[in-house]
Amino acid sequence: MLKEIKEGIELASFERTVNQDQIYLFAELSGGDDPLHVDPEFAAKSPFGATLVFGLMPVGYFHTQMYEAFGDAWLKKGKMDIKFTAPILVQQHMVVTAVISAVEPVEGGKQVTVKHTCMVGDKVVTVADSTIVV
Amino acid sequence: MSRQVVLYDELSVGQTFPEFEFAITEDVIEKYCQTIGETNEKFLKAASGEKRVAPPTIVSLFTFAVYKNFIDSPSGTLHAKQSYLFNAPLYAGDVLKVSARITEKYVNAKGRKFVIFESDAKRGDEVVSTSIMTLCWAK
Repeated sequence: MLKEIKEGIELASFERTVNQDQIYLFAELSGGDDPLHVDPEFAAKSPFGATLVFGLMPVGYFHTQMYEAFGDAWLKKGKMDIKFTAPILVQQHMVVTAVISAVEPVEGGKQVTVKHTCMVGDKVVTVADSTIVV
Repeated sequence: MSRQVVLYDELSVGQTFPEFEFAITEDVIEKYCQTIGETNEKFLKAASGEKRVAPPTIVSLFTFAVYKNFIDSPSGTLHAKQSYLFNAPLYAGDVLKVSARITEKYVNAKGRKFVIFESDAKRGDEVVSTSIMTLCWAK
């Protein structure tokens, strides 16, 4: 849990690499059947050259950051707005960061906005804004 | 199952899709945690005498099913934006009823076609999460 909530405070950052087995598992759970995700031979011949990570997988990383920072409040009243800016390939190394971008007084407490960024190298691949009232 | 590919002009604002169920089981939570590399104990096992809690983003597992269970999108359709509202913790044993509708369609200045699907997941009468998905429809 965060000890201090103010603009500019950084949340936990971490690194992730998605392997093909995790993509298969997400496909099994979600019913995703696009060959760009689940057929390595097909994807190898595509313009991407390898299978793609499901865009919704990094969304789970952002959740992890919010839960570690705000605890159960995140589960009871959270909001997340995500934008997918570039594809992520299997086995690409991602760096996931988050920072409090706004704290505003609202009825019942403070509304906190967190800006999440998922990067591969110097390219931003997914961004999100999460909000929560604490 | 073969689904019919539907073009942008064939979709309409207000169009609804049939309700379906999504069961959150221990197994689904365990596997979802593996896909995202979840590390928090809260989600990795149930507390003594309590049900296992699911990461709220587990709803991403049925985000696309709201339309893909019924129709298909043209090849090249892209997921542009996604919003979620989480209103309540989710637990192993929950069976969510999910229903969706098209709330908006538009063509941007570059001529790209966008379709917005909004869906609610209910546990009984309680809306536990809402999804707003913006797709760039290919044709």
